[in-house]
Amino acid sequence: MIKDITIGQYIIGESFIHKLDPRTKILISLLFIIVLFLATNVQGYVVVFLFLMLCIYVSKVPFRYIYKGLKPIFILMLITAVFNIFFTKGETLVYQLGFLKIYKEGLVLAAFMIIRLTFLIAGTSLLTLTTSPIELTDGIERLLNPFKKIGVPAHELAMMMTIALRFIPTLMDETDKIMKAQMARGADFESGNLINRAKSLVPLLVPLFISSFRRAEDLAMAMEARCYRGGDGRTRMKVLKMTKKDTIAFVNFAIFTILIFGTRFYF
Amino acid sequence: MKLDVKKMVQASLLMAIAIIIPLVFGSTLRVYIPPFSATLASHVPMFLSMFLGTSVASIVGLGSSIGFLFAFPDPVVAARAFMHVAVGFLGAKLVEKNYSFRKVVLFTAPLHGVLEALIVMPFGFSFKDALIIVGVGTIIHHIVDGIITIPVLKALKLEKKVENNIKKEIA
Repeated sequence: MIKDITIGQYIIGESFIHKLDPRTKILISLLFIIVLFLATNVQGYVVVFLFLMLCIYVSKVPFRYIYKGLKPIFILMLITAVFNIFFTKGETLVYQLGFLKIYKEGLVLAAFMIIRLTFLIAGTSLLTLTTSPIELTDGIERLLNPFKKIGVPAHELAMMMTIALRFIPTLMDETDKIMKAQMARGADFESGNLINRAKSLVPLLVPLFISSFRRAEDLAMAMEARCYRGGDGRTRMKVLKMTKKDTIAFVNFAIFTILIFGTRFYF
Repeated sequence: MKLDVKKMVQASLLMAIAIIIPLVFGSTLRVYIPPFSATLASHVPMFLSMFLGTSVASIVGLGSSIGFLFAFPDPVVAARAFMHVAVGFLGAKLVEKNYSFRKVVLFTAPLHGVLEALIVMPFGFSFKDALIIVGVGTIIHHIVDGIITIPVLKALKLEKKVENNIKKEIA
C-alpha cells in the first residue's frame, strides 16, 4: 500500500512544521497571501522576509528546494519587471534613451513586484514541501466541511482529489510507455515546429484518455463492490487532530500579522 | 442527488491528466510569451469534462487548480486554472443543449480569455499586460487545444466511453 504520494515536491521530514495539522498549514498559507498584499513599504517586506526565514529554518527544508520553486518564475518576473521599469510614468526621471524613460517610481514598482512574487512563491512552496498531497487533501476536505450546508460536496471533492493524486504516478508511467511505444513506431515528439509537435500529441493523447476511461470504469466498479456510497455515514482511518503545536503556529502568525499592520499604519 | 461513482472517478482521472500534461510536456510544448505561459493540450481534459455534465466540468476545473498548487507552487498559475471552473461549466451547459463541439469551443473562448486576464491583475500584472497578452494568448491556446481535442473525442466515441453524453455528431 502506498502510504504517501509525492509529485516530486514533498520532502519527508520530522520538523515542527511537518508535524502541524494540515488544516493549520493550509489556513496560514492562504492568510499569508492576503497579508503579503497588505505590506506596502520596505518595513513591511522586511517583516515578511524575517517571518519566511523563520519558517524555512524551522522546517529544515533545504534552501535549494525553495530556489527550485522560484526558478521557473524567474524569467517571468524579470520581464514583467522590465515592462514596469520602462512603462511606468512618474515624477523623478532617472534615465532617458530616446523614447524609453526610466523613472524612480517605475524602479520602485518593479522591485516591489519582484519581491512580492518571490515571497508568494516561497511561502506556497513551503506548504507543498512540508505536507504530503494526501494530508493536503484531507485538510482541504475538513476545511470545506462547513460549506456542505450550502451544497458543496466536500467529501466527494476530497475523494476525487485523493483518487487524482493516487493516479498521477500511474498515468505518468502510462504516458511514458505510450510515448516510447509510438517512438518505436517512428513517432517524433521533439522536433519540428510547434504545430507539428501539437499534431504528434494525438497518437499519445488518444490512447492515454481511452485507457484512463477504462481504468475509471474498473475502479468505480471495485469501489461499489466494496460498498462505497458517498460520504454520508463513513468513518475515517486517519483522524486529524489539532495540538499545541498548531496553537503555537497560529500565535506566531498572529504576531506576524500585527507587525505587518504596524508597518502599514505607523511608518 | 444520487452519487455517480463512475462519473466521480472519471472526473478524478481527468483531473490527474490535467496536472500531468504540464509536468510531462512542459519542456516540449510550452509557449512562453512573458508574462504569459501555456502548455499545449493542457485544456483537453477540460473539454472532455464538458461531456460529463456541468457539475463534473466545474469540479474538474476546481480540482485541477488545487492540484496545480501541489505540482507547481505558483499561485498565479493556480488562479488561472481556477477559471476553468466557469469555462467548463458554460461549455457543459452548451453541450447539454446539443451545440456542436466547434461552437462550444468558439463560444467559451472569449469567456476564458477575459477571466484569465482578470485573475492575473491582483498579482501585479498591469491591465495592458493582462488583457492583451494573457487574454489573447489564452483564447488562441483555448482554440488550439479545442482542435487537438477533436480526434480524442472521435476515438472515445468509437470506444463508446462517452457515447451517452455526446448527443450530436462532432461537426
